[in-house]
Amino acid sequence: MAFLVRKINIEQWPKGTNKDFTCIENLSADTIIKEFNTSGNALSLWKIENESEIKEIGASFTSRFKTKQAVFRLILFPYELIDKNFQLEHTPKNADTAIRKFRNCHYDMCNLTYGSLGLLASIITKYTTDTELKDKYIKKIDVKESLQIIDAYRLDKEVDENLLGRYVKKELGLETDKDREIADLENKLKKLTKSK
Amino acid sequence: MLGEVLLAGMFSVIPVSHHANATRKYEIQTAIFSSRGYENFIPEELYFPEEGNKLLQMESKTSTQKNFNNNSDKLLTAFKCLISDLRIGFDEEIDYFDFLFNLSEEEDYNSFLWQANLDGNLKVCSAISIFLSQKDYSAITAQEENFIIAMLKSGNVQIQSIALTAILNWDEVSDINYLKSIKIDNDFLQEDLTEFIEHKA
Repeated sequence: MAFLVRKINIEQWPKGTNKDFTCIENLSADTIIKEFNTSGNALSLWKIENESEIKEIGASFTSRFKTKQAVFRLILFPYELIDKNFQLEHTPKNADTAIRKFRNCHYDMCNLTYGSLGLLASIITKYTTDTELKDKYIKKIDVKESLQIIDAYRLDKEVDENLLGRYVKKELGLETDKDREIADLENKLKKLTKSK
Repeated sequence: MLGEVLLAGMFSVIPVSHHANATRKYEIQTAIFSSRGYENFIPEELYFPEEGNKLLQMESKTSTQKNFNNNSDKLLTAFKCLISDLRIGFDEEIDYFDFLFNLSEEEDYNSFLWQANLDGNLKVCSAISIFLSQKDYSAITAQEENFIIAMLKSGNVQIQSIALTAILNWDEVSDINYLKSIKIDNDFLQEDLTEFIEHKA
């Protein structure tokens, strides 16, 4: 069964057993704003063919991390559910990942409106407030495992090292003289900006 | 070619509104200096970080305890000004790290943490917690660990989430038993905390 996957700020959503949130009108404004940071009325999604690929796609997210984060969570939407209710566009060019293999998995949920975001919010709320659905559709990713996966892809020449996030480069020992030179130049530029 | 690459790298990390940020940083430096009694500073002094550091060093030697809390209040206000212009998020360029890193080497730092905890401003507490979450546990002081524990007990799920991230990133804590008494009102985060406690026990 295929899924569309997104990173989720789980702390923003109603807790697992809270039944006061059966109506999405009760969702906080912060939840909507922070979770649905749309650009061009679109949201980014990644397609996996089955659940066993979740750690791999987790590594795809991790590859762009600039800062340290031990764990994060992904939400899985059944592909058919999203395809039936939203406008999907296959957009490998918009894929924000350093692992080449996963660029082809990228989709945009397009032409989103107040109504369609509300529908998406109601699906997420349903998943986060139901114990069974929570276990099925929300998955924890261990960043240490992700780093190992990224390193394996790197050895297979599947990683665009220039696109790796600063944190990932540091963890994999891939910081180059050029990276350090750029950091020095950034600092110099900051000082110049201050002196103007 | 290399020059182009370097320039591209440089500009890719400079926020679009860097002029506004530069102005804001000027205001913050002003606040820092005035918090140390330099109300009548010569503005040009602020443009020369090395000179500024000399002034700070000189001042720190003669720093009086009577203005201690007053200073950290002003530093807190300056920090609020800084982060009001910046977005906070793990994937964002985190400009306020410089401010906190420099401040962490000042003697007012512990008092600043204490004031920030008392003040309880969501953005301030989140920003400090994110900063601390990026440090290795070996570099964390007792006051910094106490700050994160206080955040974990704050009752605000958003701040608790960041504080928990710090502890998970450190993969260490001085009193694991104390964590057992802390409850987080979010199943996912509570599960992470419980797993960490079990893993460490």
